Amino acid sequence: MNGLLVSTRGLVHIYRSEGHEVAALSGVALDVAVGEMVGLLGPSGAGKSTLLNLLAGVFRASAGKVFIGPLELSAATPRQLDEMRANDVSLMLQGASRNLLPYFTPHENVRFAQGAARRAGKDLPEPGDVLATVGLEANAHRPLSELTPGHLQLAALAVAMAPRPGVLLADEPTSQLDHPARDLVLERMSAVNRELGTTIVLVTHDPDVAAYLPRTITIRDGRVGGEGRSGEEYAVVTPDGFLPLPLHVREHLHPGTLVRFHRSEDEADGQYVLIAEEAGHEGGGDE
Amino acid sequence: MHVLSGLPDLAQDIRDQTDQSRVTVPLLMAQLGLLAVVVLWLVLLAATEQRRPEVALARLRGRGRRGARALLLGELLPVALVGVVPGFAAALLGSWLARTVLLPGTAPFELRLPVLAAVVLAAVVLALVTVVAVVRIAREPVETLLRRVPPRHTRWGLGAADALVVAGAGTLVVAFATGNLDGPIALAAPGLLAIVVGLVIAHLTSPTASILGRRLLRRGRVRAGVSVLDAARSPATRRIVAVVTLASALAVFSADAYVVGDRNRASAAEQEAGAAMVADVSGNNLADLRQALDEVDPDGRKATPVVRIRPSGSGPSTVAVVPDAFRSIAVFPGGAPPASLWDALAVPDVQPIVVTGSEITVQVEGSTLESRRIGGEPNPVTLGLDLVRAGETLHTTLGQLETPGDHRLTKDVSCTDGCYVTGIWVGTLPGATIDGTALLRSDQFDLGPADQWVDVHDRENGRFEAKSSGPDRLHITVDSPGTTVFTLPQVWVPTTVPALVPGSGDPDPETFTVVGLDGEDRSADAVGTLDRVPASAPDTNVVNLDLVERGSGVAPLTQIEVWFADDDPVLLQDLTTALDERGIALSDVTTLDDVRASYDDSVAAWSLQLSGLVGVVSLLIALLVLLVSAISNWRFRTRDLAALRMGGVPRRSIRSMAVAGQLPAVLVGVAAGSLCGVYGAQLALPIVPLFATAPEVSTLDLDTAWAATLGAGVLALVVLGVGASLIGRALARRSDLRRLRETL
Repeated sequence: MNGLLVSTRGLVHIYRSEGHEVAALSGVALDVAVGEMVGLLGPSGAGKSTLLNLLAGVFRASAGKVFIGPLELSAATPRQLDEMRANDVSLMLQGASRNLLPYFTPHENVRFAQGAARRAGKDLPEPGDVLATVGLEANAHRPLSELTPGHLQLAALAVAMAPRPGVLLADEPTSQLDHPARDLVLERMSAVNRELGTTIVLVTHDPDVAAYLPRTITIRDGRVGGEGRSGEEYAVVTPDGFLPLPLHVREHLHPGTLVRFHRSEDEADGQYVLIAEEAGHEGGGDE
Repeated sequence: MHVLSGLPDLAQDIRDQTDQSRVTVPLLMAQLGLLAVVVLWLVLLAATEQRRPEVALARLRGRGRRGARALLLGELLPVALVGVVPGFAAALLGSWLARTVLLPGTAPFELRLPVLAAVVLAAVVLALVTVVAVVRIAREPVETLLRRVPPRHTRWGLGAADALVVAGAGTLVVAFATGNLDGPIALAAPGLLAIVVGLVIAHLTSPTASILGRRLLRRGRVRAGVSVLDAARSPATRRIVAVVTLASALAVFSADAYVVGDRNRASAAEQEAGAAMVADVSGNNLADLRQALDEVDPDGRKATPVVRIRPSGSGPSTVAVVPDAFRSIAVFPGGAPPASLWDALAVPDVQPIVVTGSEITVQVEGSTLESRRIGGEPNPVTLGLDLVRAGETLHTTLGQLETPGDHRLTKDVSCTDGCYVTGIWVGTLPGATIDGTALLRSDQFDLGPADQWVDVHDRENGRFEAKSSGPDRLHITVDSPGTTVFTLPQVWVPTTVPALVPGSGDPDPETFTVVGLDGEDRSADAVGTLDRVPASAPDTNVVNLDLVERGSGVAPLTQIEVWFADDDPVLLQDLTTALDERGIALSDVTTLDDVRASYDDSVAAWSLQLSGLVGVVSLLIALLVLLVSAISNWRFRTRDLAALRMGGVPRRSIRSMAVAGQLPAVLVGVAAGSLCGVYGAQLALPIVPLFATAPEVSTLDLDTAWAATLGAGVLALVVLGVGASLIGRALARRSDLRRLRETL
């Protein structure tokens, strides 16, 4: 197992463009265990890709902390970030072709991606073996223009896995694929996660992909809005005690609604019951 | 033993001319070098922009800035440096062409240290520019590199590098324009000016085009609006504006320099030669020369005599000409003076008094002329005539009037071929007075009426007047306080000679004299000015030959020439024959073409001919930039056009838009560049040596050659406009819908 822990605390990111400021993330707290495979869900503009880029060290956080293993990225030097990207963290950009040098074959692309790690002295498998990991050995030396979209995505996956990173970050890796190709890519990513112990965080808004993943985290309005485990949706209490309500609950609890938390009578149960009341009234309400 | 040799002077002349070439050649080549560096920079920008995804991937895979730099340098630096080899070969080829085609004689092949230093300098510049371009992109943040669409600037704003270039180059240009800059950097001033203007206009283009494009769209002109907006968002537009501005400036500057140099050499040659052909005449037999000329050119339109009279001491020379013929035969740099000026030299329309025979007899009737010495003793008055025979003045004494009353005076003269009577004079002893009257008449010629004579009144000599009661007699009155010889001039010989004086001259009317044909000073009247007299020193006065010839001989050292309207060997031969018959020879013949050739066969002229090459090459380079720019982003452009096609825009409209997308940038660049070229030429031409040796009379004219600059601007517009149109059409042809599906 060579996976790394991924963790964020109070992560804030603000985009500044031509005098305007937009908060993409406003206090994200997240933990992804070593060797875990997690999906980031959420509507467009929620901040998923921003979070992924912060985890990859592409963006610098406006506030808060990002940990990749022992390294805290906001305090890392450019050299440390380069070393991290060379050895420990791979980012798969959305769109397979953006991850590949068009005039190289998959084999050459993998070798190119291993360059920095090799120079750092890391012991890496041969490009052919990397390609075999994702099932692309038969196409190792074919021009990229002759590959199918699914194979191109696998080539991108192989390139990302070329330095045997501890963390693989993938931005919409299946968004431009048909269902069989999508399933193939997901299967190979799962295999990588399973066999190499690589921690994987991928962004998707495909429900089928989300259903495939053992854990999903929903980003909403720049915060962790919920979490899914084995098909169950949960609200997540933030470290500072906030509880973002799930969307279907918010449809019933309008702004200004007063809520109380009532501990179950069975203390061993340890569950709380949320009792909502109309503003200005006592008693009654929804449970 | 003292040995005299012309070799040191010759060697010095060669050194001087070589020094001149070290101004003109770098001046021209520096502009081309600047253009080449700018183009290299822009091509490298385009190339590195294209490599942005690779750089992003290199950075993303942990290679860092150094790795990204190495990646790009490994690709671009060898290509850039290899370019030195064909460049050096092209330089050798150009040198061979110059030696075999342009230069006279056999110039040896030389490969000296400066050439190798230039090769090394070129390699260093190429490497530096490549490294700077690579570093620029490699040091961008990863997040910027990863953006699918690089940031575009549609608002006004100069980048730090551009601002630095504009500030630096602008400072140099201002320093040069105000005369505070010389040396090697000054030679690049015209190019630097174009770079400053090109960069500023290039950065103004996008926001201006955006505003214009939106305005066009609001007015419903979709096709034009989309084209202009497309140009506004394309980074290639800025590159094209900058390069086309610089290239057009060089083309216009080169054309202006070439034509101004040519014009000045032509003017200097015209000034030095004077006419299409000039022959020196041996001796001073003007009368026979004119007879010969009348024989071979009766109407005086093909050849004319010109007499050059130098004073015995210092002072202005006189050139005596036949005004009408001279005006049409001589060449005047910058244009002939108006005819009215020459009319001021016209000869008075009076007839001379001609006497023929070997003896002259004059009757004096009723004479009261008497002369008294200082002590009061009487002294006989001598009466005489001034006669002119074939240009020779005969001061002829008729006799003495010893008593009042009538006298008959007879004198032998050599006037069998006719003499002109140009004056009546009375004489006595020095200091003695003369006064009295007398009636003169002759059976051989008419002395009257009185208006043929010019009365003399002056404080020093007294009064000598003529009256008459008929054409055959003249009544003279003399009142002289003490003049040895007192002459009453005949009007055919003017007392004051009208003269054209140098433009800078402002002679005192009271004392102004010119040198006459006989070498003596004659009172003159400045009737006009000439900026320059052809083939003459700056302080030369021009008089009418027919006028000064009257009553005057020709001094021995007078230089007589024949000026021809054309380089006509037949006419020259005819004149030579006619002169031979009169014992006169032509000693030297100079043609305008010979003089022009001597100006053209100089290092200064050869150096300036480089400007033609610079102009052509600059346009070709700009064309190449258009092509490279189109090739480097043709996928994006064709994809945009394909998207329009997908939206239902007709094929013809797409073609128009593709063509129009580049044309505004070319148009703006050519217009701005042409203005820069004109101004740059005005700045730089004063430091360009146009002649091996400065002519004695300056005909320097550095005014803009408008026809040439306009022609160069139009040529640039046509070449680059047609090139841009063809490129646009080619892009339109490739904009099929398959482009929209392209990912790799």
